Parts: sequence; C-alpha cells; structure tokens
Amino acid sequence: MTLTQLRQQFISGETTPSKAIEDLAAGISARDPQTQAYVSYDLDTALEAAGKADLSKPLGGLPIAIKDNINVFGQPCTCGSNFLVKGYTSNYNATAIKKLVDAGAIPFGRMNMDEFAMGSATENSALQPTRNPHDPTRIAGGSSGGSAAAVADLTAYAALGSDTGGSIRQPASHCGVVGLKPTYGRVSRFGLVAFASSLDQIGPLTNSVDDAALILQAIAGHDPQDTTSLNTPVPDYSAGINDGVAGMKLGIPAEYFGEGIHQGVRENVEKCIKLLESKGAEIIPISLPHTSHAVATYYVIAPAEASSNLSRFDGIRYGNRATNPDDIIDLYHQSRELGFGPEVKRRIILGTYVLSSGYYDAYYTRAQKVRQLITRDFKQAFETVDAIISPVTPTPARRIGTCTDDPLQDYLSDIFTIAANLSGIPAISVPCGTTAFDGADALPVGIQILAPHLGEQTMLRIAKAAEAVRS
Amino acid sequence: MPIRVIRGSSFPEVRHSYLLHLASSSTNLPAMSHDHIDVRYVAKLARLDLTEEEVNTFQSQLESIMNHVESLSEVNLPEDLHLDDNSHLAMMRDDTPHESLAPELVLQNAPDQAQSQIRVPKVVADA
Repeated sequence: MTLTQLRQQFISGETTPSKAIEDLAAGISARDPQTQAYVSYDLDTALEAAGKADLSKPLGGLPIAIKDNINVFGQPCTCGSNFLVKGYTSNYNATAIKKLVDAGAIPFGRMNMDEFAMGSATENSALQPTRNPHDPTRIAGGSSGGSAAAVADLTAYAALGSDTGGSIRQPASHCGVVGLKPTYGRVSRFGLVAFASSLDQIGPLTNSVDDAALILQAIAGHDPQDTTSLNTPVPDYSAGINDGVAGMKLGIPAEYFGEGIHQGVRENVEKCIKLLESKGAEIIPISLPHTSHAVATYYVIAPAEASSNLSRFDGIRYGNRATNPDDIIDLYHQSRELGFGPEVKRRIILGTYVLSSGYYDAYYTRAQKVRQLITRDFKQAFETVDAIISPVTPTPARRIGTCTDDPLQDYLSDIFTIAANLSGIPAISVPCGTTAFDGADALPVGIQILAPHLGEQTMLRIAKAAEAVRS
Repeated sequence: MPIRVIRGSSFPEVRHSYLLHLASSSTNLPAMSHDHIDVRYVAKLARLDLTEEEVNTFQSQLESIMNHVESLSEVNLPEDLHLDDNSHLAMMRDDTPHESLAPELVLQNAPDQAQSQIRVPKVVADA
C-alpha cells in the first residue's frame, strides 16, 4: 500500500493511524527476522503520536521509517556503528524530522544502514546485514538498505534515507522501490550525521512516485541551521506530476550505456526509454565526457570530508569510550579503534592521506577541479535536454558475502549514481522491470532520471510517466 | 523511553567471511605510480590504532584505490576552473546568540561526567 492510499483510508475511516502502526509492527514481527531492515522501533511512542494524529495535515498520521543516521529526539541513532550502539540517544530532532512531524507524520522505526553510510550493500552495518526481500540471499543495496528493504517488504509505508553517492537510489533500484535524491541544499542536513558534507542529502524511499513527491514537499525548504541550505521557494511537487512527457527532450548519455552493464538491466532501461518515446518524449543522444573520472573524484572527496567529519567521534561527548586509557591521546585511539569497523577505518585513512601535507594539491585540489568538469558536463547537457536517463546500477543485486574482498570493485559499481552528488543535481530511481541474474529469476531493475539543479518537478513528472508505462 | 531493540545480533557467518576476505585484495590495475603509503603513520594522524593485520590489509587495498585515483592526473584541466565556484554554499551565519541544547541534554550522552561537566583525562603535562 502507498502512503497516498493509506491517507485515503484514514480520511474515509477505513483504518486509523494506530491500526496502521500496529499492522506494521505485526509485519515486522513476521518478516523482519529474515529481512533485517529494522535496527529498532519504539511502538509505544508511535502509538501515542498516532492517538493524537491530525488527519487534516498533508502527512497526518502516516508512519515513516527513518534511516538510523537521522536524529529523532529520544530515539537511538546507531549509524550502523558499534561506536553509537551504546551511549547515544538523540537529544534533538533533525530539521527533516521536525518538518515531517509538523506535516503530521509519525517517525516509526530506525532503519539499518552501512556503518556511517559507507557502503553499497548494508553489509558494512556493525549490527546485521539487511537482506533483499526479493531474494534473501542477496544484498538490499546501500547504504540506505534498511529503508529500501522495509518499503519493498511492506514493513514500512515509506522511509527516509540519505544519499552521498547513490545511497538512496541504488538500494531503491535493488529492492524495486522509488528513491529520490533532492538537489543539494534542497533538504536541510541539520541532524543528519555527517559523512561527506558537500555530497550528503536526505530523501524519500517510497512505493510510488506520488509518495516521493508528498514526502519531498514536507521536508524541502530553507533551514538557517544548515549553511548550505538553499533559500529558494519550494514549488508544489504534485502539481503537473501527471502531465506526461510529450514534447520533453530526454538525453541518453553514451557513457552510461557502455560495456559492463548486465544485459537484463540494459534491456529494461532501453524498453522504458522506448515507452517514454512512444508517449511523446524526444530521445536525444548526449555525451558526459568526464563520467569515467567520477568514481576516482568521489573516492578522494568523500573520504577527505569523512576523515574530518568523523573526528567528532572521539569518545569524549558520546558513544564508545575506552575504559583504561593512558592519556587523552590514547583515549582517542582506543575509543576509535574499538568503535569503528573496517570500511570506516579504510575511508578515514584514505581521506587523511589525500589531505596530508604534500598530497593535498595532487589529490584533493585536483579532484575538486575534476568535480567542476563533471558539473560542467551536466550544465552543457541541460542546455539541450530537459532531463537525462540512465541505469541506476550496472547489475541487479549481488549475493550477500561476495565482492567485499576488493573495496575498489564495490566502489566502481557506484559509477552511475556518484556524478549527481558531485554536481549537486537531483536524481530519482524508479522501478522499470525485473531480470534474471546470477541464478535468480526476477530481480528488480531501476531507471535513473537526472534533472537540472532544482529541477525536481520535471524529474517527478518523467518519473511518474516511467512508472505509468511500466504498469 | 521504551525502545524495543528487536535485533542486536549479527549473522556471524556472513560477517566472519567478510572479515576473512578483507585479508586478501586483488585488482587488475597497473602498478602504482604514487608514493608508498605509510599506513601506520597516516593512521596515527587520524587517531586510529590498527592491528598488524589491519595495516597489511589496508596497505594493499589503499594502494589499489590510489592507483585508480591516479587516473585523475590524466584529466586535462582548463585554466578557467576556480575552486571558489561553490562559495555561496558555505556562507557564515550571523554571530549572534541563539537558543541551543540545554546542558542536561548535552550531558545526557557523555560517558564520564562530574559537576555538570564532561570529564576527560588530564590534558596538561606535569611540570
């Protein structure tokens, strides 16, 4: 069931917010032991809020699951890390949460994730791997794997995730749900535990494009507590969403359809493009020539920012603390060594290295310049097209426990999602079919729609058309 | 506040195999052209203690990642690129006092505290 349908049932009296939350709890008890999407949930607090729900509000009484790196007052916020499993309870609400609650929604459930959002499989969670509801031997994707899997498993009606290099769109694609990364600055990052601050964005994972628009409407907007928040009016994201793609120019970048894409992914995406063309869109081949440098650029900038952001986890103010340190430096060392998992350590060391004396210009400054070239590619493309269409991932979901011996291979699989974060543009993943892959009969495939800066309305309109042609 | 933590355990077989796989890395990329990475020194800068096994694992993994990063040196950079293009995204807010977290909320998570303050090991060296 979608959020929109549930809202209609609330209004008609067919069900109530309390009943909807109890249904979710029953679904979690039945199915989550296999999927492992939830880290925790607080039924009593959610039911208390449900009893006071104001159904006249746009999200009145609707329960929304929250990735475990977004602060909700009084709730745990583990970030999938042993550093925060004990010794941290959120003492404030993230702005996105405050806005959701102001719109009537009820935050319910803390969703599993790769530790500090570093990963593409939710295998890097220190707590548990999340399993794909379409095939429990496979990854749900990541880092917002818990959010995506729960929405696909119908143990959540909708969820919030965060996207630094594809962490909303990639798990959405693997789990067959909608995942939207807004324009950088459109949604406040205040209260989102920072990974890479120039790339991070909060966004929705939902079972329909309409639902994604509904949640974005609630969480978008300027926030003085995030200096990178955009102070521009928020349009009506549902207005014109059903207007179709007739007359729209859709760019197909040659670099996103080269070798290395699984045939089933390619066929599904190309079929969806043909259907959009049959609905009146003009398909235009384009080039984004710096695409091949996106992963290298990202894996300089993101770890560099992470190494700085994660310095706050020092064992002093919250979280894991060493018990018998020799001195304060030893306290830092021991607390961090025991608290962080391997991927987090790897990225902190990588980031510290590229920022260290003698290497800063060679790596970090150069990566920032290449980032501008990647952004220019998009700006030039959007002079001739309204949006760009691509696959989300080169392959469907791989098996749990494979490919993790070589981090670089996992990093390279982020190739189609990373550029949107580097350039700050919005992008959405919409289910476009299924394919057989590696012994599985039918795994979900997503199509990605990338739009110009603040082009969410155009993007949602195309996404709605893509969703319609599939069904 | 009653938090029902419904899962704290991992799937040990999956985590175990993952950690074992971390010990061996393979890539098909060309030999490194950057300097040797002194993992132990960089870890010290990052305030991380690493085991011998972690140092060895990270050594090969980081060098393979940096080999890939080296491809950025092939990019032709136009002279009109300026790094302050995004400066509007990092504006300073007015330096005025505003409401912030109450001290008891700030202290709520502090692992060691006394007299409404966070306690830390001695920072100043003996004379």
